[in-house]
Amino acid sequence: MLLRNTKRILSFVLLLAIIFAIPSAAGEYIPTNRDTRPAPQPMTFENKTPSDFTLLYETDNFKYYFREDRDIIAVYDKRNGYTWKTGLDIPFARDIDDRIREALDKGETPNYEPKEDKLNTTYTQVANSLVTVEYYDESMNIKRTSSAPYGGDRSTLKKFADDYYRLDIDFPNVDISLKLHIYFDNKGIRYEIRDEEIEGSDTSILAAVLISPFLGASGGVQVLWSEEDQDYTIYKPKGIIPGYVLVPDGSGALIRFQDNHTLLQSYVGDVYGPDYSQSTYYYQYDQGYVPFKNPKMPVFGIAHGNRQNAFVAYAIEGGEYMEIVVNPEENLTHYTWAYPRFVYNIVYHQVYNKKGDGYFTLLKDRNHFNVNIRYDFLEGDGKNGEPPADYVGMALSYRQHLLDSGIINDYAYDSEHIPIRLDFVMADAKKSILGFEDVVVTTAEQAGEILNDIYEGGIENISSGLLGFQKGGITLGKPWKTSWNRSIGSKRDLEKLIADAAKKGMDVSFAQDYITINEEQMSLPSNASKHANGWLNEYVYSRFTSFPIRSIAFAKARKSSEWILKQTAIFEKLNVSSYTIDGITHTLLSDYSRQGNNVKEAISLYKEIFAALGENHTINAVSPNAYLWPYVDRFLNAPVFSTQYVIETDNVPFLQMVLYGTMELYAPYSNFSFYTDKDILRMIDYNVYPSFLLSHESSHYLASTNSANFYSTEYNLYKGLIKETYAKVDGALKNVIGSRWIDREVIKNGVVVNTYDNGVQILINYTDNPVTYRNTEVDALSYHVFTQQEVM
Amino acid sequence: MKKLLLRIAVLFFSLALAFMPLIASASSATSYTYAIDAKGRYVRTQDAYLPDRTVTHLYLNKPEDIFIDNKDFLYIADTGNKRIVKYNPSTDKIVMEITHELIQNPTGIYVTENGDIYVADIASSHVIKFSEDGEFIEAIGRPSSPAFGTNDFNPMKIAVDEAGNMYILGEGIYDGIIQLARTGEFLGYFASNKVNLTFVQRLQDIFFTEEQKRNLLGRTPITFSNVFVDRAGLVYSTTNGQDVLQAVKKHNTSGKSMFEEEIIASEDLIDLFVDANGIIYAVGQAGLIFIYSAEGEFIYSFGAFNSMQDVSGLFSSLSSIAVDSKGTVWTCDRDKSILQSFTQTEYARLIYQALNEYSQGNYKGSIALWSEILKLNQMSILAHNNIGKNLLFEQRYEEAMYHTRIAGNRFYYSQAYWEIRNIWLQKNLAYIFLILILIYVVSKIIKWADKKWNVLEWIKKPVRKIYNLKPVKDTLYLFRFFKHPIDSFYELKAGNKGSSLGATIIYFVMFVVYIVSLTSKGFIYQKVAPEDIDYQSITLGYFAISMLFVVCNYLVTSINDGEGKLIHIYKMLPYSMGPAMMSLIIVTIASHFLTHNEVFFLQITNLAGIVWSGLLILLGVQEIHSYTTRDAIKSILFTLLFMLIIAVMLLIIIIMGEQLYQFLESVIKEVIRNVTA
Repeated sequence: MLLRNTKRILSFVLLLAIIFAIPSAAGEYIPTNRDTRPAPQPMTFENKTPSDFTLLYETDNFKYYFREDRDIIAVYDKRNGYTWKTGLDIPFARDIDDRIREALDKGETPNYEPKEDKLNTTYTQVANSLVTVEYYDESMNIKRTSSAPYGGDRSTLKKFADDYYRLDIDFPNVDISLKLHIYFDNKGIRYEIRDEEIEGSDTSILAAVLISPFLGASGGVQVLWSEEDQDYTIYKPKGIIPGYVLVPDGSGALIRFQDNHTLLQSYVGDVYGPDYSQSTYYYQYDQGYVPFKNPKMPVFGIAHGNRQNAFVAYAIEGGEYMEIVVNPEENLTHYTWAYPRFVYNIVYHQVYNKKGDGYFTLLKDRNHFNVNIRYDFLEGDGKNGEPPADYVGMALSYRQHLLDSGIINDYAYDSEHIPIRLDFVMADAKKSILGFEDVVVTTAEQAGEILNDIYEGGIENISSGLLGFQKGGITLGKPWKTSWNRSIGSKRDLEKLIADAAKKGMDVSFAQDYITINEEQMSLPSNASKHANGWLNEYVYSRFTSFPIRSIAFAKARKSSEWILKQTAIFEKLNVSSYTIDGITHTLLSDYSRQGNNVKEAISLYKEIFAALGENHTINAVSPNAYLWPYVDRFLNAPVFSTQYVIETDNVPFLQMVLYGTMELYAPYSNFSFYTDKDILRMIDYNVYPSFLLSHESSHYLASTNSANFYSTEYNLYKGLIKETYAKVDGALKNVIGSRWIDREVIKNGVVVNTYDNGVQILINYTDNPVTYRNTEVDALSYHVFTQQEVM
Repeated sequence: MKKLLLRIAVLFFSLALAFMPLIASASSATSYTYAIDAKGRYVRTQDAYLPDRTVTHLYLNKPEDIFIDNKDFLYIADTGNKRIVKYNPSTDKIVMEITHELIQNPTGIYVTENGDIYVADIASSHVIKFSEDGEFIEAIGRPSSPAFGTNDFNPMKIAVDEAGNMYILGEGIYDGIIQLARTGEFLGYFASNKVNLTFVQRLQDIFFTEEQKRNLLGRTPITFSNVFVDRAGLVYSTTNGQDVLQAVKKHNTSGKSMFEEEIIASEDLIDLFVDANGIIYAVGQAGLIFIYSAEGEFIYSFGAFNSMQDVSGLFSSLSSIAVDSKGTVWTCDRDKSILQSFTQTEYARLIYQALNEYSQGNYKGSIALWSEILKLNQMSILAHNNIGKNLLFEQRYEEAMYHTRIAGNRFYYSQAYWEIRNIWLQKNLAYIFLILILIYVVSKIIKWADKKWNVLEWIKKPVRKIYNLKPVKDTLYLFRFFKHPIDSFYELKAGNKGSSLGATIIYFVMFVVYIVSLTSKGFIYQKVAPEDIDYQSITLGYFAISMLFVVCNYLVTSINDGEGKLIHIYKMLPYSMGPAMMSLIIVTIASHFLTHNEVFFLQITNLAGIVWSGLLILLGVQEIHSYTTRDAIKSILFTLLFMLIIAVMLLIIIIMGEQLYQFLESVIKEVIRNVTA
């Protein structure tokens, strides 16, 4: 009886505890992969120089060693005693077995060395080697072979100078050889693979080259000998190093080293986006999900510990053929490992009839390019003025490289207030009895009125792009000319709009996409790029049955360049001070037509054009890739999220930290699900300026056009939100205009502190509770600017 | 049509071949939220849900079902691990684990309001009941009642109402949902899906033997894929399979569906959940999450399929859904063995609020909320529709018309217009009569004056001149057929009146009238928007069918002693179209003034025109070929049959030609490849 009563009381208490636990627990901010979590735990490591290695070169900061039989470079950081190895530095299980057998044969007690679980011979050689190549076998499957294979070294290291070595590799299993040039300096290592040095009769089946794929890898499980079972049966995890991989996915993402508890797919980031002409199929369609984000720059990095050790790797050459791959633990091995993959050949579907029958094959002529990639090793918390050993340091270090090589330049921005971007959707085409007609939602005059209205309302720092400014609107307007439509605005109307705006210091420009084209707009065979299989690349809006144009193609790089020059020449006569360029800024593809081009040629064509345009004009570019950054003044639609792969644990403003202060970065349009308080806080955290897409009429008029996705643009409805958003973002970011962003810390889940070199700190509180910092209470879902005096 | 579009969309989902970005997106959503536009097509809308947490650390193995109780604890049927997991989302920790010898392959879970946990286990053939603390209470096996029949008892899914009655989906049971009393006593089968027989299947029913019938596939009713009981005790179900009109059902006590309209859903629905406000959430295996109002009105869908990459919010095999008290949606992916939650956005919250206001009769409040929603999405058909509806109840007809028109809701538009027209008529009826009388009087006076003093001569003269031009005269000869068809056809044949030129003009005029009638009706009757009409097919169809009729009729009649020549038939056809043309014109004009209530007038006018023209064609054939009525009917029927045969033949030739072309193309390419290689 007593027992029963106790039980009842106990369960009652338990129930109460559970009930009261919920509200108090609910208050805690549980981070998702869209947040940044607090820094990883510190790591402990032994300070010792590597054994079994020979010293190659020494600088103030580093000692560089090499192990010949396993092809591993060890980088000993003299500043804190940490050693990075380009491979795992482990023996082959088969060698261990041989040694045991040998000892047993001799009657000695063998040394049962630990083995690695899930690392077979192929993976062991990949895990050690400095270079691994992937090639296609006869059934188009990928096979791997490495510079330090089982059963004999296939590489020789040659010295050319104290700081310059070359590893000549003749790969086993295939007839491919290459030379890896290795340069050491006081920041790290630089590798080069020259295209003309890739030799052998099998180079046509060379798929890709992987450089030091296990550098910085974390995890692993050892299998130990069990005396009891007389076999290798004891599984012992080697322990996960606290840390993460940084990938430039969207704004930037961290993949922490952790036990995922389930098998998850790898991250593969195709730098500058996929080359449609080298995709498996010549047609693509929309999949119902948000398109995955592509790296805009050829960079990645790994951090070990909390601001202790890190490296950042970036391609100086060959970025357009680079992929960034991260394999999480449980996928293939017990390690989380990340590496650059340089792609030389791909499998595509060769179609031979209208019906689409075909077969899979490789490019006849593989991709030709030089690889030039740098690894900078970082150390410490940054107090000594050097970049700290985390993603902030990686961003600052990469930024310094871009500044040094003139790819980005410090931008003198003198204004008391932040700028805002207000684009207008003017017109788009819908089907009518005879072909197409324009649906006009904003005229030139109305655009002027709206701009004035906002200007009168106190926002003065405005730049604006006009989408669909001519006959045919956004979708059918010709990208090489200007056929004015009086119902949108005559030449004189637009001239007036631009001039009136300019008087008030507002910049109005024409926005044009120079790469997506369609059949109703122009003849495709002469203008569109061809896939490697000889067919025109095609993208189909399969889900959008309401679109009048459901299939689009991509312009040849040469054509895009021609058009842009022709059209901007007309714009120039209208006295515009800037150009707004879309399409070619983020889509990069080769063209397999007779006078085609590869992506490298496309890049140099675009660079030439942008250099010319940028001479006397401001360039507004929509989500530009790194190769265009030298010419960009306004980076529109800057990514503020990652793709959100499940293995990605954090989202960080890496792109923003790299580019801050070198150009103006604008957030995606707030109209489309980016308008909440949290989103505004994100703009402040990520240092991007607000932007809106506006129209005079209600956007439901666009329902039967290809702009049907602009479901909410009417100015009258957005007036309030524009003001509110601008006031909030300006309130924070006006304090840091012209200064450098030097640090970003997560003091607890949902609370971020950004530090600038003018002494200002901005705290962003994403949580639903107030936070106290530096004796100031910051409200839930708000921010606080700590001035220099407060910080001191 | 909607169904077809949906099917196409779902097909493309499953074909996750490539993943090539074009347009970057603003928010943190990984899939788009889609609503339906005024024409029933998918359109993008403001994100309703954002992926929130991806939970991978529970060591789940092929979880089949999840449930959320009223304290917001999440219960997971961790099928592969033979256990039930109770998880607390707010602390991100497992609270309790239940294992039991009867938990072998748990595929269904339900937790009642008082905390009892019911587990449906397909392998142990039991429903197992546990207390809130996870203590075993009882196991319910196969009912012994003879009414249960010879069916096996393999419970897959379960739901329990307030009284403790269980609703169980059994594997391989086609009779309906098994309903058991609290005691385990078999109460009967609750609801069952009807078998929709196809034409072929009906024929098979007539001619096949019993044995043959037994061997046929697909004759059993489509079984339910899941069952749910909301807190009010209403039973809901999902059904998967093709051609299911209502993949989501809300059952009344007799088991019938309470929804009237077709339900927009995919074919692979696998689970559903209903929240406290009656909002229905249903999921398809391919990763789509559909959300409906309590009345079954489709609000939007989100989620997407992707088995190649693991991205938060995309699914490779979505198996279950549950919603907590804050509206957070939890889902689980069987293949990936992960949980994924989605938080409501402001947009979704507003919509649910607005629906709620409306259901409580607060129209004003509802309008205000829907107007907020319109700010976020000016294309929201749901918002326009609901505002229109509410305005109508508020008797603000003009505004109601504006919104229902954008929403494409002709029913409510028509009602609003009827009211407005009514008000206008009441106000102006007197004037209208006055004007009509005035017109009548004035015209009488003019006529009288004309007779007396020829006052109209100055107009008549040029009119007569134009009328006497041959093409005009021949064309206008059309009108004589209305009154004197037989005489007119005789004159036409004899070549006295009318001409090929006139006929050709009429062909074209009729075409123009036809196109105008297709594109320019009043909103209520303009079912297809002008931009969505396929003019090429219509043009081709109009002329091809007319000419085919002429040629076929000539061929048919020439072997049947018909006297008419090709040219006679060519002329006869257009001159018979007069009444049809007139009715089209009348209908097109009248459609601007008439509401749904007066649809019979338009239908009768249309029918009259067609019948009249049909009769004229009959008379024409009779007169031209000197047939009896009987022969004429026969010849027309033969003509139609012949037209059909020719159409089919043309189709075959085109298809064969295309194949031949493809064959030759392949051969040539193969040759070129072999030569160049």
